[in-house]
Amino acid sequence: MSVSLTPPSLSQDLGKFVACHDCDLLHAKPSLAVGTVARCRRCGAVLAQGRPDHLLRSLTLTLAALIFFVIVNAFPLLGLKLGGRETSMTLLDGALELRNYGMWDVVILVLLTSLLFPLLHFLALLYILIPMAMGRIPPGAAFWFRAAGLFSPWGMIGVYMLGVLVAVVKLADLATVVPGVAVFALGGLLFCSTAAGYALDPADVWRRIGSAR
Amino acid sequence: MAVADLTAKACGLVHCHACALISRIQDDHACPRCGAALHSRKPFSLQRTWALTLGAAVLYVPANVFPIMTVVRMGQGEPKTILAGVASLIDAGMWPLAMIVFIASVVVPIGKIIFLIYLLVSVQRRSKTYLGERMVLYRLMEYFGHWSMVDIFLVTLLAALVKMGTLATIEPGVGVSFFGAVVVLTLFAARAFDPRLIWDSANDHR
Ligand SMILES: [Zn+2]
Ligand SMILES: [Zn+2]
Repeated sequence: MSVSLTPPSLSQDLGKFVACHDCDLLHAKPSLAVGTVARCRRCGAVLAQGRPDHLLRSLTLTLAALIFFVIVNAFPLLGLKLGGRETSMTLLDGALELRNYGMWDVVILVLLTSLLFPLLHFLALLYILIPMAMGRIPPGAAFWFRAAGLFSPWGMIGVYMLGVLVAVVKLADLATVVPGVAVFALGGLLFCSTAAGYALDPADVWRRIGSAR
Repeated sequence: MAVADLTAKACGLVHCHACALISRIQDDHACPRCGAALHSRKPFSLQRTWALTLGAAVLYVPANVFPIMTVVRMGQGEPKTILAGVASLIDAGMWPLAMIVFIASVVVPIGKIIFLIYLLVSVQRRSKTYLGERMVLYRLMEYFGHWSMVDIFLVTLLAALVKMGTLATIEPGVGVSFFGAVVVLTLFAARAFDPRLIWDSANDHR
């Protein structure tokens, strides 16, 4: 990457420049080979990365994540055996339980972070990626891709998974905990959604959305 | 200022926070590509970050004073605060678990509040030192901030699973509400802070 950069004049094409997201330093737009990363020379933030075949890969992984998401919500998450009695719960039961204690703020927080935001994130991504992989841009693509970016930090599947593991170990001395189908699906969901995030090249998606206008 | 250190702002340009497109700064305009509102720096970043951080610090007190859950066994059980919960995990010999809960519920939120205050004060004093280090702090906060939610998820999972009347029941305590508010406020605070302000002070008077 060139170190000296002359400030863009009024007539110059702004498409030749990128600014660092974290420190605002202006760089000439890097041209990247697949699999390489360009970083800000001042703060080290990622400016751009070449990701191979990213539409198809992220589409497949997001679809797999959505399937795991359905399984997670359709089957019991954890079961408990104690004194001859047995109970089980689903992810939704966990989110809604605290309404019995009138703690609606916690109900809403858990419902949003463990269920609604991850789901909206997947759906918004699929709405864009499926047509885009076929060479088309769906109506409102800019809005929905922006929305996907807003939902994504509030989906906390990884943290939820840790909560499940802690709960299993903590209850071990109290009763017998039976992991349900949903626990394993949760692992698959976590893997696929993380991998989908790494596969996607948002800069290329924006380029396609921009060139369709 | 060296030419190599030009920021988009110094060139009259603005970077779109949503889609990264560069465009010329105009009053009150939206990104021509994605429609997001464009701001050279996040508006009222310092004021909003201060308000959210101090709010989180204040609510962290009731979050630790009030119990977060009660484990009732054979009809008996006393409400436990976050720290009492960690202590009972240590008593039960569950060291790794105690560490996870302690880090997620104490180290991460307190660390976040202290780091945010440090970032705010250093930006307001226009400090030019430890730029890269402060940037690393900011990124750590963004990366680990939401792991505090683990305690909230844990309490809701335990309450939904252990419901066997007098035999064994786990009830949530009002501390969960306060702790949830602390987590949400620190998440919003980290998002309200604009890391470009760290570098802006490094650029002036040069
Ligand atoms: Zn940078
Ligand atoms: Zn934009």
